[in-house]
Amino acid sequence: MRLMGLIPILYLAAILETSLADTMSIGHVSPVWLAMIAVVWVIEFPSPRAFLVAGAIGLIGDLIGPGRPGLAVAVFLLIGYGVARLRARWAADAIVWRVGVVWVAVTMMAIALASGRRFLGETAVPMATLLGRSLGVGVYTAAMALPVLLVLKWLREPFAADEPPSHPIRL
Amino acid sequence: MSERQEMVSRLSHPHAALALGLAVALLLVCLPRDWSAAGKNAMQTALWPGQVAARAIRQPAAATLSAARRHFRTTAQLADAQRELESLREEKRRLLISLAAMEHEVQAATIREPVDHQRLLGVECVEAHVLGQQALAFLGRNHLLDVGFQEAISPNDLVIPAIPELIDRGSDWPLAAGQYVVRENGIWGKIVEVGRHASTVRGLTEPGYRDLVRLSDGDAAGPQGILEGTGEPLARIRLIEVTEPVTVGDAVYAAVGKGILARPLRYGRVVRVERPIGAAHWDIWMQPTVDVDRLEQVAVLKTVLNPRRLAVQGESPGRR
Repeated sequence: MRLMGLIPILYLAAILETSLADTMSIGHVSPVWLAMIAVVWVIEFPSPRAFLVAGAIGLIGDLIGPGRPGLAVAVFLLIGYGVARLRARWAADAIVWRVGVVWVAVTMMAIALASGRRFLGETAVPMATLLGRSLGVGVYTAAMALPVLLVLKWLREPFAADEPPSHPIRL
Repeated sequence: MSERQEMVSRLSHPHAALALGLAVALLLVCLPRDWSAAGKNAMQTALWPGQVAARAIRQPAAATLSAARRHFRTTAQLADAQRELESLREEKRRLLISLAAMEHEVQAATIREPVDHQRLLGVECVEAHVLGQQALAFLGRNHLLDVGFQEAISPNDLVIPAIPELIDRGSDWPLAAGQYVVRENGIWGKIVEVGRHASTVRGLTEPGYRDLVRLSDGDAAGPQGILEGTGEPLARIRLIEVTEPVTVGDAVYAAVGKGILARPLRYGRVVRVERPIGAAHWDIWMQPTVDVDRLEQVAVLKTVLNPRRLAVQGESPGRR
């Protein structure tokens, strides 16, 4: 059911990234909505195979992007897997920690994608520039994730009293 | 559990799922471009309705944002223009006042009778020329101590250690020691000795030169101090307390001449201000207005009794 609700969100994110990216960009930096959705999904709906959803979102990113498909699939899978493992061991309920995880994960995704595109010869931008832009993308995307995480938390809180705590460590 | 279920169970393990996903990703990377282009085209087809809707919303939204930006920009520009207009009006008012004051001064300077009638003392300019080395050689290398007395000279008793500057006015003109030698609107120095046909001038930067001066920042008269010549290109001003406001650029005027001169005579401007640690007075250095290296023609200011005032007093002795 949740996956069905994810489809229009992914559609909207793809529209934002393809048609309206320049309206939200600051220089060469704009938020990566698909990456944000992938990381937020793994954080908010933890399960051993949540990273597969992140991989599928990566495939959408490959298909709407100019480069070879498969690179974003691999990156989203790996980063999503790492976030899922981290989420399983470390229950970060505070918003600031979740935003921090989004920031780190999206930054790593951006760096990995930039490095991969550079390696595959799909971009001639210097690596240092790509790294700098990746850092900016991470910050911008994390900032955009904050209201999303807040809304999800407000939606979750009415049901939080009914659920028993299931994580060993709480922050 | 059957083998099929066991295999599904194994593939469902996260590590296996990850490996399977990475294998699929690698396969996609290795796909020919034509095959991947088909998938991209399908995705673009699926996104096309949303992109059309986004473009339809974007155009009026951009127009609204541009109108809003134009409005604020216009408002900001209008505010800037109004501020500039106000400052220009203020500047115009100030210049008109300044012009009126100057016109009054000019008028007062040209209308001599009422002003000169009131003043007891006045000044008279005696044009003179600085004697160059050749002229000095002709006149002899002496200090021209031939003091002139025919013209009511009051010699000063200062000693001039440096090579003096000479002007070609002496006792044959009513010159006196202590009189100002000016060029245009700046003071060059003072007559220190008067000879029959030549007089000695001590420049304001020469050692031994002293005069009472007043600083001014242009709007109001400032503190008084003592101007001293040091032998250096800059003259020094002493005895101004550190509690007095002094800044670089302040004009320096001769403090004497009140009641005699219509406007004060200028010495120069302050170019350096220092305050030694623990000192009670500023150390001030002044750049002279007059360029002593280019002097050829100067004027000597003589203080004289106003003949018109004397004439008026003579006509009405009962007024005393």
